[in-house]
Amino acid sequence: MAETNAITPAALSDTLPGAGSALPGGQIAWVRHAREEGAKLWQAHGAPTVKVEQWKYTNLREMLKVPFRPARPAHEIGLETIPAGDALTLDAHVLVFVNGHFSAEMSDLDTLPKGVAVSTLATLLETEPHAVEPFIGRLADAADLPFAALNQGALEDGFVVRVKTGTALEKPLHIVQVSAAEDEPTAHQPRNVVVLENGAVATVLESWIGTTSDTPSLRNAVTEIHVAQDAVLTHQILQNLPERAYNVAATAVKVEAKGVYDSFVLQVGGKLSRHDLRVELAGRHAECRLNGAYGASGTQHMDTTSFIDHAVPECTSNEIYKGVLAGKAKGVFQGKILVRREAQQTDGNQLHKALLLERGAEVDTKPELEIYADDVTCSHGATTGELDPVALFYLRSRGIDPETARMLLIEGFLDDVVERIPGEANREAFKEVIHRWQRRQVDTIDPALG
Amino acid sequence: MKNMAPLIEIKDLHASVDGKEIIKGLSLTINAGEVHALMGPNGAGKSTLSAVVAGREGYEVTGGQVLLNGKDIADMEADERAVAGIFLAFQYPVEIPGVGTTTFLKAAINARRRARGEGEIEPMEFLKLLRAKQKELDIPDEMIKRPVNMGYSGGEKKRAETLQMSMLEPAFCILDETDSGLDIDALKVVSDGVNAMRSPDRGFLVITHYQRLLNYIVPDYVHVFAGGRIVKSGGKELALELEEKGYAEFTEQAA
Ligand SMILES: Nc1ncnc2c1ncn2[C@@H]1O[C@H](COP(=O)(O)OP(=O)(O)O)[C@@H](O)[C@H]1O
Ligand SMILES: [Mg+2]
Repeated sequence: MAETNAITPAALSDTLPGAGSALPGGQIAWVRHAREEGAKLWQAHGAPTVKVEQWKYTNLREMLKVPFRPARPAHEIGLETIPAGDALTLDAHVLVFVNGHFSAEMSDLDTLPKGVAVSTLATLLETEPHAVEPFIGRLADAADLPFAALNQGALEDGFVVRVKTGTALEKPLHIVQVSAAEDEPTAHQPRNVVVLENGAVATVLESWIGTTSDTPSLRNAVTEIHVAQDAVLTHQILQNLPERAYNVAATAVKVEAKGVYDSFVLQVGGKLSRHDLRVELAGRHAECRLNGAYGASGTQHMDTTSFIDHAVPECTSNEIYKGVLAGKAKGVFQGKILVRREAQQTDGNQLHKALLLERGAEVDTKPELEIYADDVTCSHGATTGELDPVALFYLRSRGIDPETARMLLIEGFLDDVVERIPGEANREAFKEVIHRWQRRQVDTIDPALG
Repeated sequence: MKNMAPLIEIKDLHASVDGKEIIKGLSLTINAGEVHALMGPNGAGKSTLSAVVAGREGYEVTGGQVLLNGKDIADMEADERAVAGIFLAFQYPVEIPGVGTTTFLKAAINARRRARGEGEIEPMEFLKLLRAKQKELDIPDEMIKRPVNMGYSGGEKKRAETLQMSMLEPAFCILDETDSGLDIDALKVVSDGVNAMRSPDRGFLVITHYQRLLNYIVPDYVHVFAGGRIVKSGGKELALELEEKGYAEFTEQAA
């Protein structure tokens, strides 16, 4: 973080725990140090402005004006049910977190197979701090990700999933994370860890949803993921937050030799959402597949910033993101691929495609290849287009009404990336969300369009 | 004789594209049960006429009328015209990536059914209908599994257009150069498909550049289209005459 922000120093500082707060693990030196370090970095640099290269296209000014305070624990809010219809729906072990804290009442942990441990960070910091120490702050670098620094300063709770060596989790683990708004603007900063030991295989789903409210909320989440040798993690995220929600999330992943990290991220909610996705391919023949889609309308702002670090030879990365932007929505896709000098025989491919449905919609794309090895296959591409009027006429000439024709073309546009989602049921679950998102657009859209 | 409005009545139609007048006073009446052929040189405006009737945006009608069953269709959108019974088999069918052919066919069929106050088609009924038409038009499952028209050869596209037409059962069909790009076998298949649809309550406008197609789809009337309007009309023997003499006489006459 080279640039320092002098205009809004230490914005959001109220979301940090005050001195003397009794937080879990407060008596442990490394925990205290992590918090102090995070808070110090945040206080020193403040929130990033558009002058910071990585934040050039995402202006946080409006968000930083909101006086966010730390969210209260879920049981004090009294949320008893998951907001209906917003999360992914498919057969899974369901765990529910409200404002970053585990909700035992809404979760279903009984049937978790042997070899899979799900805990909360707060519990582990008290009972087994050494179990999480190697995984906190190692991948989500607080010096490089400003909001990870803020998050680390407020280190308290989140989910910790550990899949033991050789264990294959058959049913997906679905972690539903609810942002529960309160009367005052509140922020919560979950810190999550996923560890797949050697040869472990698992599917982790995340649904980021929230309660509808006129009061803004901020979710600043950091998830650190370790995929050990020969392990395969399928990781699918739905960001379907309510209209007034701000979301800043970082997913930082390390993949060891022959490990696979296969992710799909669909963002359709929130007022402003930034997702940082960083993957380090750290062992030979490690592979990552980063796919995703986003749909934004109104004045929504959706940012995907990915960073793939080819650190060793013979690794593969494939990334496709597609965005659909209506109204005055804005999309951002920044995709960096770093191929280090020793990372020969790297295969890295990246593609971003945006579909602009209305004149007011816009997208900023910044692909960035930084290659120091000489024997590599790398490609990247970015396109921006509109709905094909000829295709629209073709569909309408068959009697299909303009709204349905638009929906068909939009789903057709997203089809190839959605088809990359592994698992029929998972694919259907995401298609369903996309379809619902589309219907919502039709129901609110100006009938003169199309 | 029943006192009924003709299926399609085009009256002194004028239409422009990009401010350039292409259709310059065309009149044509097609009754149910009739097949009319429209022949003319390249660039005469045949596809423009078909686009205007189908309701494509950007084609401005500057004069005249098109009546479907006696009703002016000027204010109807393309999808409303389709639901009302107009079908255009495109000269250049459009490839639509990511949109499944069956999804598309179902949406088209259901649009019609909805307009008639019927429920959506049952999956089994749909499959039965599709299979029957596929067989008739020699369309393998492999083609149906692809997105709309994706990667089809010229001939496959024309067969697929005919399949849609035959599944949607429109009252008025425009075939815009359905013969172009077809070898003789494909031409027979497509023609058989069209002929099977001929009925007393359906009319056709078969647009073609060549007489060849009309050996298979035998028209009741032939019109020569040049300079933006019909310059000569006759029976099917007119097509043979054109084949022999070419369009030169008419283009000169129109110029
Ligand atoms: N979309 C368009 N924009 C501009 N000119 C067009 C367009 N479509 C057709 N034209 C022009 O209109 C005339 C008639 O074209 P068309 O209807 O395709 O003829 P035909 O089908 O008889 O070969 C041609 O001069 C062509 O260049
Ligand atoms: Mg033409």
